[in-house]
Amino acid sequence: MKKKLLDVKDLHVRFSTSRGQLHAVRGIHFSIYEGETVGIVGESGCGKSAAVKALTRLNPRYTTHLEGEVLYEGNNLLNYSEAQMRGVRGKEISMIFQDPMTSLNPTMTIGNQILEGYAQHFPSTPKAKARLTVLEMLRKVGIPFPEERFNAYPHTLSGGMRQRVMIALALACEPKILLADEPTTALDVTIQAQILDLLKFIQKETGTSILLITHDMSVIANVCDRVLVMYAGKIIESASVETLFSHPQHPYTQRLLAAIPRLDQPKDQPLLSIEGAPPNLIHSLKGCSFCPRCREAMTICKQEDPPTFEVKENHLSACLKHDARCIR
Amino acid sequence: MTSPFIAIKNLTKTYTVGKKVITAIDDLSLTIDKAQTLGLVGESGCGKTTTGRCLLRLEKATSGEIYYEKKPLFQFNPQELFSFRREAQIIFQDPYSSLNPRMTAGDIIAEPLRIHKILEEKQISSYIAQLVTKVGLSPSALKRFPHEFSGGQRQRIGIARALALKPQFIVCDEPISALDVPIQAQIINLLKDLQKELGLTYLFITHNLAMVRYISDRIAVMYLGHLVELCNAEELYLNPVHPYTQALLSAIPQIMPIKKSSQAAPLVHKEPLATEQIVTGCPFANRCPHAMARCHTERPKLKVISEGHQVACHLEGDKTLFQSALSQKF
Amino acid sequence: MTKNNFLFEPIEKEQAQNQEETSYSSVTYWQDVWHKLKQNKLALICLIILSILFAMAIIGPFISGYTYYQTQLSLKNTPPNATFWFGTDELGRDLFTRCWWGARISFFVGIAASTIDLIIGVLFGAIAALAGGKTEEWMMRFADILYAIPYLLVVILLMVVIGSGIFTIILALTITGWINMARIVRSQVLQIKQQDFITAATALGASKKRILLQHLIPNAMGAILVTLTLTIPSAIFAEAFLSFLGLGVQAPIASLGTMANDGLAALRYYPWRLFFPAVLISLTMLSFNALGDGLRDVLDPRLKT
Repeated sequence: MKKKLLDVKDLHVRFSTSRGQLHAVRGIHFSIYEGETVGIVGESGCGKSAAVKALTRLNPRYTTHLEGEVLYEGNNLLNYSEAQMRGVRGKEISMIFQDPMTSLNPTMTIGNQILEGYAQHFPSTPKAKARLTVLEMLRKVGIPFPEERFNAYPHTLSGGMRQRVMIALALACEPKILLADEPTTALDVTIQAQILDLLKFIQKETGTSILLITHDMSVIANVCDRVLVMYAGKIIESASVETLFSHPQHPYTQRLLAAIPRLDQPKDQPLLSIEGAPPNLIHSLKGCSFCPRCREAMTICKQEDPPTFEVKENHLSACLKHDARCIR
Repeated sequence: MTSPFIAIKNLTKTYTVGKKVITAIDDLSLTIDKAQTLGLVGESGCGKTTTGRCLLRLEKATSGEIYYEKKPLFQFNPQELFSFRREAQIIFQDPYSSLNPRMTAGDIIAEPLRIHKILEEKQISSYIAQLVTKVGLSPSALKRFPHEFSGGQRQRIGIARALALKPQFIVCDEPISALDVPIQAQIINLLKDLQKELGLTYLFITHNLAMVRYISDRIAVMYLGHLVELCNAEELYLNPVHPYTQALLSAIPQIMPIKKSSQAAPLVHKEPLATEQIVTGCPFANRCPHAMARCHTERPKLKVISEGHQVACHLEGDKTLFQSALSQKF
Repeated sequence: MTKNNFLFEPIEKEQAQNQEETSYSSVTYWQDVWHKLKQNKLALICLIILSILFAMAIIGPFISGYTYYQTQLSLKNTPPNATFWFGTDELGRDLFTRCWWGARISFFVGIAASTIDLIIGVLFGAIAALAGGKTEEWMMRFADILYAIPYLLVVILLMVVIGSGIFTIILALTITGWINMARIVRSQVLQIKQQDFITAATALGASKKRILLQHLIPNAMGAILVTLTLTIPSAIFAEAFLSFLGLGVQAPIASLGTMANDGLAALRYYPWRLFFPAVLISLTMLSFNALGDGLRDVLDPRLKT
């Protein structure tokens, strides 16, 4: 039985904006176990980025309201002080970001940036030993000639290389969980393939669990063991990758998968899309948030917010068509 | 054979940054037929966006010529250029920066009409109301500002603006890259419908290989400013010949069946060359799994290997090396 | 338990297009700016203070019934009382009237100079940025050279050549005052130029003039407005400073600066003569600065919803 590392219960994230309160994450529940890769997928604005940032409390400090529980080793991270969170970030839970151009400090060499993070958590390690650890990390992520590259500045590296440095930075202190927020979206497809391979390699090597956020279903298929589909601030389906792609249950997931252009798409038929757009999360939503765009909507969908049904073992779907009262 | 609608001949574009000379486009020759879509694919730095801009004279080419309906574009005087602008338009990638945030959607779409003084003011509002309905928005949108629209809606406004002057030719510069997948599908459907209805010619620039196959008739693959492969859309996927095209196709993560192992191995740890490093030889030589000695010294020329299929590679003669991984791909 | 099938019947689909309609009410850029500015209490208070000061500058000289030049030597140097709310100066003139009269001069000079700076600066900066290349370089180097000249020298020269007075001061302030605005506008325009909608305008066949007036300058308005609200107080202060030095308006016309100068000499015995003009100068400048800061917070970074 795998060990449970992170347990998120009923997480809500609200942002105060000049137009009112934006309820970005509306009560999500999920867990991350040891040694697995979990993907969170959804369109822009579905709340996935906000949710993941909430795990390490990286949302804007004064305008964000967090509610719920984020249990790491039995403690609720939402109750931690800023000082305690600093002890968690980088050492227990690390994060890598989307844009490799702006994620690295342009005025520091890449070696020193990683060293800085390492020294923060292991201050008693002698400098020489720390440097060796950093070089080892650079080598592991596939940066050629690490001794020379240690002194390189970020602007001399390509996007793919910078993303590797980011990964090295995140893994230097051997965290248990790595949060990856759209790590390959800004990269070319050949480089993306390399970085995804690297993530899989790292996972096997170090046993770090990865929580991968993306809007690209094919990335999920390639890298993840389990996947959570988010829509309008909620997780509407969760399953293993094989199950989700072969037997998606929620109408949104089905439409999302159908919209992915296939290489053998017949050219005389229009592409399958989802009409309309995701709802505005400033307003409170009555009933199912997908209902206006759903082709299987029923009368009850407008009135009741669907609870989560366990369709099969470890396959959850939040749709009222799974309700026992619905005859199909 | 009828002469092509647009013919690019030996187009070259270089930038001088300090002491370095960066070649964005290197001796490119291509044709585009009327009412057809030419897909232009490649990764960042390959010169596809620059090509699109040179085609509309939004950037000044260093050498070469582009023939628009047999007329040399770079020789146009200001009046000819002004009328050319009515016939050739562009749709941009970023829906957030491509619309003036201070203008209403109506003013944005009407601007081309006002610049070219096509219609009287009182005729403009009914014309743009029709136009905006055609792209899938309601006329009430005309009074709104860009920040009130979603990414997909903004792209529609951009498309309406491009269509206002009833152009013949539209450069689509990565029009869907910044959108979510379901919205991408909506926009592609719209572009295809418009092409059918209005007989438009597209240059579709993208790095999304699945979408480009769907919308294009022919596809050109570029790498570091060079054209490496040119063929019909279907042919590119059934029989990709150039090693770079093969690498691109194999790098696309697969969905069904789910493949956990990647096949892009030969490119691991190799970075594309900086353009000032490519003096002789094939630009892809340092990353190519089939590179020979000849590839580093002699630049391959574009050769016709079958009907409508051209490749710039020294290996094109040897078909045995190209058992395209067809069965592995789909 | 009976199955409630009615609830589970599929519903008729209305046009999904309704959902694409955005649900914000349509707000223009400036309405949004105003709404955000109102939330900054300090900026709001300063706006109110400035409105009061401006109102008083207009009607103030008429309230007390005395004119600014009316002398009553027997009542010289009276401290503030019921008749003379700000007291009188050494010639027995009502300081209340003179202060507001001085405020008029100061505001007039400040706003006139700033407006001229605005027009010259915006056009110069925007045209330089749009032109690019050597033209831009030459234009900005010219501005740099002009900026290096100490404006006090210019003022003195002008006073010698043209004579002193309000218009001399305005001229002196505008000769070099536009450069700051030009620099800021140029850097804004350089950024805006990179955006796709400018390329789009070129692709549509728009002339450079159209791009400048319809696209570049309107989008630089945020920075322009902030700079304006910070230029006005520095112009007002410059005028006060010059008048304080004796290079400004001549008696009997009073500006806040000349009054402060007069008041300084009598500080020991009749402090109110310095106090009131100084307070008015300070209050004006502080309010403009706080308002400008508040505007800058609202307008920068770019409002992107």
